[in-house]
Amino acid sequence: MNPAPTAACREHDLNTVTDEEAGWEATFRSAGPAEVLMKMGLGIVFSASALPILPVLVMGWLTRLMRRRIRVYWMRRITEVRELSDFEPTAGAVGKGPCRSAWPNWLMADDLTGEASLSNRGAMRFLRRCFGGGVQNFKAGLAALAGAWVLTLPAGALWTFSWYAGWNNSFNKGYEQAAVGPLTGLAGVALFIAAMNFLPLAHARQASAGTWKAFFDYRAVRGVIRTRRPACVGLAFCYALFGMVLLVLLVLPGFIEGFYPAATEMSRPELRALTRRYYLGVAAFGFPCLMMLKLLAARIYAQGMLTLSREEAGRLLLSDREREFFDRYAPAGGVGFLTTKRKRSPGLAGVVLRPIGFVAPLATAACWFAFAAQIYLSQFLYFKSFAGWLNHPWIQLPRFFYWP
Amino acid sequence: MDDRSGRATERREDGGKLKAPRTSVGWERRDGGVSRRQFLRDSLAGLGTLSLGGGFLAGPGGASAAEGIVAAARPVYRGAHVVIIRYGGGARRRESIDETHTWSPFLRHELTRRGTLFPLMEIASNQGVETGHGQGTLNILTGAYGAYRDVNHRLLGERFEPVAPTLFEYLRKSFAIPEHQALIINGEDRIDEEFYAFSNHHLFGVGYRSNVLSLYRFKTHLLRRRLEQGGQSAEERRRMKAELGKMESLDGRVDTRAPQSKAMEGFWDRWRDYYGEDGLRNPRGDRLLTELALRAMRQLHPRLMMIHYQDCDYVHWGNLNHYTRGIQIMDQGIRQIVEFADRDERYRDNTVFVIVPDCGRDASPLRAVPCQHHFTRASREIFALLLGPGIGRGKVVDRHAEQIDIAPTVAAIMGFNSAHTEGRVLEEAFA
Repeated sequence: MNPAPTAACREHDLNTVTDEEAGWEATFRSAGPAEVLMKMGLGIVFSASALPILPVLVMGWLTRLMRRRIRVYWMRRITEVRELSDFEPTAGAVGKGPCRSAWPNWLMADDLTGEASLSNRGAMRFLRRCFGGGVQNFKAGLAALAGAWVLTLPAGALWTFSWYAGWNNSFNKGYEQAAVGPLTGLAGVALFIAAMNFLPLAHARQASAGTWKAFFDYRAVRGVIRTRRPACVGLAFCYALFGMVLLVLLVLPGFIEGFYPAATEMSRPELRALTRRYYLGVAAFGFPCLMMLKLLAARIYAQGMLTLSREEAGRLLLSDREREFFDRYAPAGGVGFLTTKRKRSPGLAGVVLRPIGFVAPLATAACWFAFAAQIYLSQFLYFKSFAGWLNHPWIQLPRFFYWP
Repeated sequence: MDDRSGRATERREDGGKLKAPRTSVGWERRDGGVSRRQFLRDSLAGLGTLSLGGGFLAGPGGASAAEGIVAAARPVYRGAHVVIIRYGGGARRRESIDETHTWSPFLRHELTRRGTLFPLMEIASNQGVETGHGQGTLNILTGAYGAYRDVNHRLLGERFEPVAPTLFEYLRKSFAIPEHQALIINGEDRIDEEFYAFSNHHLFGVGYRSNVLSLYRFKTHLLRRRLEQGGQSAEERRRMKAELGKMESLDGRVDTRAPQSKAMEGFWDRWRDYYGEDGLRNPRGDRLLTELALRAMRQLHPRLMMIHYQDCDYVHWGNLNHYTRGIQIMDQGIRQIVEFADRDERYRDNTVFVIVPDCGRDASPLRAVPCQHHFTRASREIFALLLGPGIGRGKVVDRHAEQIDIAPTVAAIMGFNSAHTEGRVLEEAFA
């Protein structure tokens, strides 16, 4: 029932994937410059919004983007292997299905003419067409946020307690219990590092598997981490490195009086308008960085799952939808055939990277420690009460706006 | 506002008539009450003793430590006591002297009626002049701004060594005042401020330093006492000596470890008898400083005393009530000290109080909590309140003043020369 791909699609980079959530098959083309600008612009605006619901859409959109990227990565590998083998194309051949952008829609349904739309009539069809994408983003965003907060809440709670109660004790010169605050804080840092070792790839897992529970597939995520240790170090390093810039941008408003004295004379509405413009600028940096970090995590996950799937035990770690995907597009020998390809010599990269694998866990922990230190520094320089301990725009709700 | 002569106008809290400020300073005529004949006699006696080769303390200040010899040439101080209260930790005008928003009711509603308020005092925004606690304290004490840097190059360290002399040095060089009557009352958290007792100025220095009352000094005294009493094992004794040596030599400018005076030893012995030795049973935080100040006034009778309140600075870490509670604790402490002075025969009608913050605090409209006191205009905005004999009552001077004006003003009150200060005398304060 799927219409043949258009000529325009054939001219683009074709990646056929199945969008499980919509229940249809489509061919995805790379997004053009205008589309990238528009969709990224909406991401920037939504993540700078004062309304908390819009950042939830951002989280969900990023989740769906990650899923598509994982599928595209796998499909490209399938295409490479097919070109190198005598594999006969099956029903999952490239080029089948309606042509859609690889970047999901923010509000409108991606599936406008596909099979799923035929099941709706009249007003429901209209509503689904207008807001279907938004609904999907919202649901995916809630699922991702729930996972992130469950994982990071213990650390955030310990930090909140440590900071509040620890300084309270210090103010009252409770020397006898002086160690409680710092030790609790350090425990929170340890929990945070443990959580962040897991969280980015857990989100990728959740995105790929399409269920909220997949966030907690510890064995699968741990397996991916073990196969891609240097890459995980790189991911953590990127968080810490770009996080330093974000830190400066997020604390600057606290010092507005120093570099923009006129702000002290502004009315509350004027100040709020100025603040919103400022955070729009912050989101112009923060959202693209976040997107890059999520896509990096998606790529690491995709590569890791392929590597794991060389072994029978590893194939058991695939989620149901992932297994369906590979059964559809690489049925001969299952996923295994994708990975039993020519061995490439590691080259210089392998010589450099191999020793790194031994110290990778320490390096990753060090990077996440640096990120935790940024959160502490941010709270010291521009205190945001409990919200500062429980939410970071790159970890939990991607909301850059703050109003005291 | 200025009148036609260009002098600042003043207004009275009770709406009374304005009065032009007097340029003469009441205390200048009471310069210690020493006759010329007595002064010359004492000086000749001092010079004679010097010629016999009295001992000297080495120190960068270069001042002679033949205190007893030289002191004989100095007049006895007979002027007013001065208590400088560092309304410290960084307090904004809003929470201190603003009538509607004050968290310091005794200061705002009672003391301002008894003295002269300078609500527009500021810390200059010169390059290198930072709005910190140590810097503000030295601005007050020396009457000069400095681009201070930690001598040990520690990040956020405040171990500063002033170049300009402190008020204590001026005072003790001008008058025969023993060390235990020129006091800094310091908190247990800020060891660096223990060493603001004297400067590196070649004409002043360690020989004219103030003494310091703090838990740190108490612990040093305790260690000495325990070593004197003996009874420890050799290992424990070695450890205690090492610890004592470390505590006594924290200030690298002082080569020898001069023993404390009998008055100080007695003070700490009485403190130990009352509060024990573990440092846990005495009041804590700024309440400790109040207790130390009151006991000092009762036992040591300081002529010049500076109290380093600090607790409201805990708001750095985000708990707003630390700021407001800290201000309340300071207010209560000030009340206790002022009321004691009002009752005590020695201090009644003979004590000038100078209440001035070390720095302000941020007033950013985008902060729910004023955590910081750097980089912004509000952190330079402070105030000063003077009250006591010779000080105008119920006056508010709406004229720009600087933090470095405190030192020359105190010098004028106490009747000594402060040649190295850079501020001006706040003449508007004098009745």
